[in-house]
Amino acid sequence: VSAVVDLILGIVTSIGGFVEVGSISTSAQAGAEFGFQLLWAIAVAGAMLALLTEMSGRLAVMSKRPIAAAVRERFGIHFHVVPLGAELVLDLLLLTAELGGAAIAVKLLTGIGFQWWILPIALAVWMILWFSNFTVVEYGIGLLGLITLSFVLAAWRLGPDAGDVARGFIPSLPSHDGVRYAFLAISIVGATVSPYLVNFYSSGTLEEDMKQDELWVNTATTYGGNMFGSLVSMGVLVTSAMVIQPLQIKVDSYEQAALMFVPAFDRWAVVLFALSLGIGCIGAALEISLNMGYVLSQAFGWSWSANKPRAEHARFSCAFTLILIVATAIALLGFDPLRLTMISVALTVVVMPLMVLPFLVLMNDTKFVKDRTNTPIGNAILAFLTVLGALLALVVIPLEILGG
Amino acid sequence: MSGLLRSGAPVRGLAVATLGLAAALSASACIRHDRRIQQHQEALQSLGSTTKAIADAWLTGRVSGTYTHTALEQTFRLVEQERTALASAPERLIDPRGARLSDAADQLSRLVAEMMSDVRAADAAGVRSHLAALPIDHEREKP
Repeated sequence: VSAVVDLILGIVTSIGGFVEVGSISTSAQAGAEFGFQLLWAIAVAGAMLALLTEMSGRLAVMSKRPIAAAVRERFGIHFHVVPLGAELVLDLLLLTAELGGAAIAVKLLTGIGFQWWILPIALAVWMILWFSNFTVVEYGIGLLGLITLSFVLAAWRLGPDAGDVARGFIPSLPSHDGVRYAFLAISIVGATVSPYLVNFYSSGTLEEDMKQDELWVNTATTYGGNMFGSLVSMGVLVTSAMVIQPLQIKVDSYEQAALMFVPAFDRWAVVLFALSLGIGCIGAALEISLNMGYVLSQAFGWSWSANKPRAEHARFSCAFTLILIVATAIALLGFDPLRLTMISVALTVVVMPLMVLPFLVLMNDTKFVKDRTNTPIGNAILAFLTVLGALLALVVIPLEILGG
Repeated sequence: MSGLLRSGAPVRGLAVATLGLAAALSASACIRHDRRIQQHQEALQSLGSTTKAIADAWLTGRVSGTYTHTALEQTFRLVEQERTALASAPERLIDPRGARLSDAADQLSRLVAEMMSDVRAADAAGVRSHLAALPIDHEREKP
């Protein structure tokens, strides 16, 4: 019964925690510029994330090591310092963008400049991290994040043509601006398959002390949660395609994106959009901050846990506090959160091969996963993802310059 | 090099190659220039449509004055960015299309500022009159 409850909670919170600043920005832009044509990119990215999180959870359960500690042990610190450094930079940018996104959500409701809200929001995030535990962060924010289902509800209320939506799942060439189309497709992958999600899930599996006989919960949660979570991103894209595209608006700000809710929710439109954006961003900010504490502790062998008093894991607590302070300082400089998001999702794609490649080795090493090694199909998909990741990494920056 | 100069054919070949390269470079510069102009046009069209959508939503009572003012303020900033980007490249202002876009950006910027003031004063008639003067291509609005 406990495993079933864990499964349901896991899937529900995955849905609630799926959408954040990156997925809202990229899906809204994709819908506004290319209609339903990029739905396939969200489906592919969701499947990639499900695959990687399932493996990271399986690795954690079987080896009792999170992914960062396993990479360090298997490949040594000289290799690990590269993905660790890349993730530090990426998470810092993304955390800054999430704080900015949450601040813009408050600005939409109050009319007061977003820079004024960054410090209070960062303080709230830090207080939640300091005074609560992993369960609160995982389940509490995940459940609140169910507000993001508003995007699915909006799409449903707008009544898109089922045939048109279905055609969006078949990759097709755009009728205009192919470079921009390619850039947005890759950005959707970058926004969805964030390294922090994989590491956070892996550490969470150990925080929750998942047992080997509960591996089916890991599989069902990762695939079910990510597939249903992708529906929320698809809701953003469909709503944007139905409302923003006919108006010939390109989404360059969250204020423009909020207009997508107006036909579906009338007077509640801005409130629902702001709550969805704000809660999604705060949830992601909590996860990214905590994840930085996790990966730094795991890389350098410090003790870590969000379920123990903070003084027992002083360096872990300092790590997430410090990263939050740095991100807040950058956010206070006044960068446009939407542009920062687009830069960080493009950079995520650049480091993707570094994230995927270790899985190929670790998931076939019986020292780590014992008898739960990958199947040949799993390995073939991982190898394909590694090659694909390398190709995407090569083209994403030129595409950002030409079409971003 | 001296061999090249003594023989007529290689010199001609070199000249043709140089001319070809120069033509390719200038064609590429022209395409880049046209593309930039088109990007500015699309961006201003999008901002004009945004202004119209925000104002329409406010006039029909579907969004609050707070949101409308905030959203128009952000639109104003984006129009100013476009205007600055256009004005920062003299070759774009010399081009008649660029000059027209610059004028349209000026007008849009002014209208958005006036609408912000109208919204703050809850002046629906003022917003309607400024909305009618928006420099957007209404033909392009059709889906």
